[in-house]
Amino acid sequence: MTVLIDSYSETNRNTAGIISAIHPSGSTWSAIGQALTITKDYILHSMKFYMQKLGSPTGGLKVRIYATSGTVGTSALPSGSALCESETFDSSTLTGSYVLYTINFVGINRILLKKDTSYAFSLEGYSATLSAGNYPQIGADSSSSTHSGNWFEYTTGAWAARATWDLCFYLYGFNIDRIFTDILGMFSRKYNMSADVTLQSLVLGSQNATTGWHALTYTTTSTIEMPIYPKGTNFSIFPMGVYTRYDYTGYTLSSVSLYDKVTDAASRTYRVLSITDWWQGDKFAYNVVELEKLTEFDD
Amino acid sequence: MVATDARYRTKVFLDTYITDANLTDDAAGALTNTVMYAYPPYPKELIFSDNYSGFSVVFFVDKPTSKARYSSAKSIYAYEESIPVHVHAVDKTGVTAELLLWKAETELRTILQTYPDVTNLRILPTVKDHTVREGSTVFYGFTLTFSYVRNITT
Repeated sequence: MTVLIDSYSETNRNTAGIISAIHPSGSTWSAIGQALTITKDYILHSMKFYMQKLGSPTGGLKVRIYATSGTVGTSALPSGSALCESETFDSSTLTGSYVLYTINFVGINRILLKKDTSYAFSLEGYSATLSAGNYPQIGADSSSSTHSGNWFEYTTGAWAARATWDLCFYLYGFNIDRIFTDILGMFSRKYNMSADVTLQSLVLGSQNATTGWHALTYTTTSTIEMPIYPKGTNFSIFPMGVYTRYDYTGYTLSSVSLYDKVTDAASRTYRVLSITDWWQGDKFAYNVVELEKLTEFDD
Repeated sequence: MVATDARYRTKVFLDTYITDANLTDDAAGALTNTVMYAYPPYPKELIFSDNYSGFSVVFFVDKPTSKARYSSAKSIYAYEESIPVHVHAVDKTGVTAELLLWKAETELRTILQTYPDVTNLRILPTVKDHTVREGSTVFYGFTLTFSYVRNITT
């Protein structure tokens, strides 16, 4: 599932940039874009631009993404060669009034947009025919613009920034912190796994006067996310077992401890026999939990 | 539990005479201990975990083996009970299990010397290492087997 990474609403549009030549052009506008800073790690998916056409352009457009130089918000510009590029958008499909159009990134062009890193998202003329009388107009705001990034353009053979302009755009991606959870969610649905279980945390009570053994008492703490693979599951990229999501990136933190009990939606109760941390990279992990199904003779 | 239960009597004996102040950490600081029957119905790890009971040394009283003693008239006059006591400790911050176990063994020797059973005969014939690993946790320990001769009238 894609999420909105950043945007600047088309309702702010009061002006437009144009692309009237194949990029790079030494004489006219061939690219426009927005430089901005990414606040979390994402996998790039797509962008939307607010566009209309003047005349009858037939040329292709591409979004290319660059590293930046300068200060984002005032003077940031594309730097170096493009990190990736989008699929080609056919400008002949534009209409005479402003509409939001989606341009997708596919395959290896779905790059990782890194947290706290600045990128320049540049919409560029890619193929014929774009000309002085036939070009797309891309919605922008030049009046009290409020986006934290800044507009840039390629006009007469060089990049130039406009601190007081912002592009109207939508940037979408996959939240990388959620990818494994999303995949797990897919398996949950496919195999009808029990995803939400009731956690009962073990508390060792007072000691029996004869045996010295502690009374086992349980406090029902919460409903946690712990998919349980049912009998008959024959394929998963995850090892058979039980998972509870454990991350420190601001999402739900569910944890279980040794000998806790969990009860699934079908009222089956299990006891936690062992817990193993299973890390994915350095940001998030699952606890693989070994369970035993309790019988009528168990506590 | 009836008073003649050798296991229970051993637990009471240990509960009564073990002096907590003699079982200390590496810096002679106070620790907690407990006596219980062996094989509780939950992981031993929880007994030592500071998230649960947090005991530092635990005396697990195991099930006794019994042997009858017969008189010349071929009647039973006493039972000889062997009662293993598994003593375990784990390494914690400021607690070296092996050091603590020696204090525990010394304490057991002391109470047997100090409180000899005047009615029956409680002796200490064997002490053996009993360090076990469960998962990633090492439970350092030894097994001390009380031999306990109890007259049928007591």
